[in-house]
Order: sequence, then C-alpha cells, then structure tokens
Amino acid sequence: MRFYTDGAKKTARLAICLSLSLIMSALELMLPLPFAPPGVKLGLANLVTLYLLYRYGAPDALIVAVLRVFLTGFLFGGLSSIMFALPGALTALAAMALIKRARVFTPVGASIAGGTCNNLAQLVVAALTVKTAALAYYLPILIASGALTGLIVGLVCTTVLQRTEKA
Amino acid sequence: MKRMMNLFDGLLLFAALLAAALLLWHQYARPGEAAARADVYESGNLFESRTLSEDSLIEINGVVIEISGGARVISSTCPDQRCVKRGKILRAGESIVCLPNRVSIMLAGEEALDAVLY
Repeated sequence: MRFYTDGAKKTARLAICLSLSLIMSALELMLPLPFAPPGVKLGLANLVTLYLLYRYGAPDALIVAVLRVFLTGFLFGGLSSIMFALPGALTALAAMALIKRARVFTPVGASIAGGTCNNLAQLVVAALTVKTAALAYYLPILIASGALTGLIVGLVCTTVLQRTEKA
Repeated sequence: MKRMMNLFDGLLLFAALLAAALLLWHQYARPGEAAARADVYESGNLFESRTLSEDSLIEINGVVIEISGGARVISSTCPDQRCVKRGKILRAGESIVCLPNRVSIMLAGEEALDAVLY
C-alpha cells in the first residue's frame, strides 16, 4: 500500500477510474446478451477494481468500487440494484485482496475469484430477499459464468497492467 | 507477450467449474418424486397452496401461473422474464422464482416434509 503525498493527483486518478467503471457498468446494461442464460453479466466494472487493487492497493480500489455501486444505482436505474451489487462488489474485492496477498496467483486468479464471489453474493442476497433457498437452481450457471468472465476480465486487466507499468 | 496466467490460477478456475458441474449434476441426478401440490409464496409468505391434480390459474403480483400437472409461469411483469423462461416444473423440490415481483413457486410432495434443498 502506498501513501500519496500529492492528494490532487490521487483524486484525479480515482475520479478517472470511477468514470471508467461507470462507463463499463453502462455498457453492460446496454448489451443484454440475449443468447446467454439469465444472470450472466460480463463483470466489466471489476476490471477497474482489479486494476486499482494491483496498481495502487485495496483502499483505492474500495473507494472506487463502493462509489461506483452507488452511482450506478442512482444513474442507471434501480436503487434496489445497490442492495445486490454492493455485497457483490465488497465480497469480490475482499476475495481479490486475499488472493493478491497469497502471492502465488496472478491478477487473473484474483479476477476469477472476484467474479465468482460477486455472483455468489448476489445470489445470497436474492435468496434472502425472497426468503427461499430455491434459487440454488441458479448456482451452477452463476458460478461458472462468474469464473469464466473473471478469467476474461483478468486477462484484459493483466494486459493493461503490463502496458502501464512505466507510468 | 508475457505470461498472464499461472498454474494456480488454472487450478482456481478448475475448482470453480468443478463446483458448478457438481452442483448441476446434483440437481439432475436424482429422479425425484412426483409433486402433489404447488405452494405459491409472495415475499416469503405463503399465499396459496394448490393441488396439482386440477388445472388452475393463479395470478399474484403481476405473475400469472398455470397449474396443470406441474407449474409454469405464463406471463410476468418483470423485465428479464427469467421466471417465464424457466419453463414448467414437475417434481417435488423444484421451484420457480420471480425476484422482481418477489414471487416464488415451490412444488411439494405428499409427505408432510417438503423436499429440502437438494
């Protein structure tokens, strides 16, 4: 974890990342992927979270992730979406931070864990909402899609991290 | 291009996919018993319990359910229509959930105990 003495730089950087993740969220909502089973999302917003985590540490990633969830809720409809997205984003970040700490994994591994945890957490919230365990029917597809989209996002993010190393 | 993944990432991915596959297998492995009644819940509270031996229609919270030997959602006001796409359920323990409208339908068998989480 690095501490910045230049607050303005950090603020600007986080603001840009936040805007980027909002754009990703918006993109996802615009591409419904009709051929995919319901509940399958690309998890693009995690890309920014993952990048921040590996480049600047968990606190920065946390700030942007939380703000992104709320702003996406305000801007793109569904205050109720916050109820699902927030636990998803938080558990995903926690999992990714733990994986990063374990050191034997690459960002791809963290992303796989993050995507899976995101979906799992959202399913748990959904189950608590309708007060039934019947939603377990969706577990296989959510775990699989979470892991696979995590893989794709992780590969993209690794590319970005590698190419921005000199910055 | 530098190496982007390593063995551990691969193991993690494999573990996740394996878990998903096992869960899927578990869902479909047991033949299950024939269901006798359908319990319709709204926000977690039992709304109605209909026997499957007679055809009927139930409408609750914008969700239209058809009971005939099994249960299926004919139409719903939800945006994603997952409940409609679920199709028809026939066996005890199976269920359909409409999250936006907070409606869930569970099929139960003849014993006093419903089928618990498979």
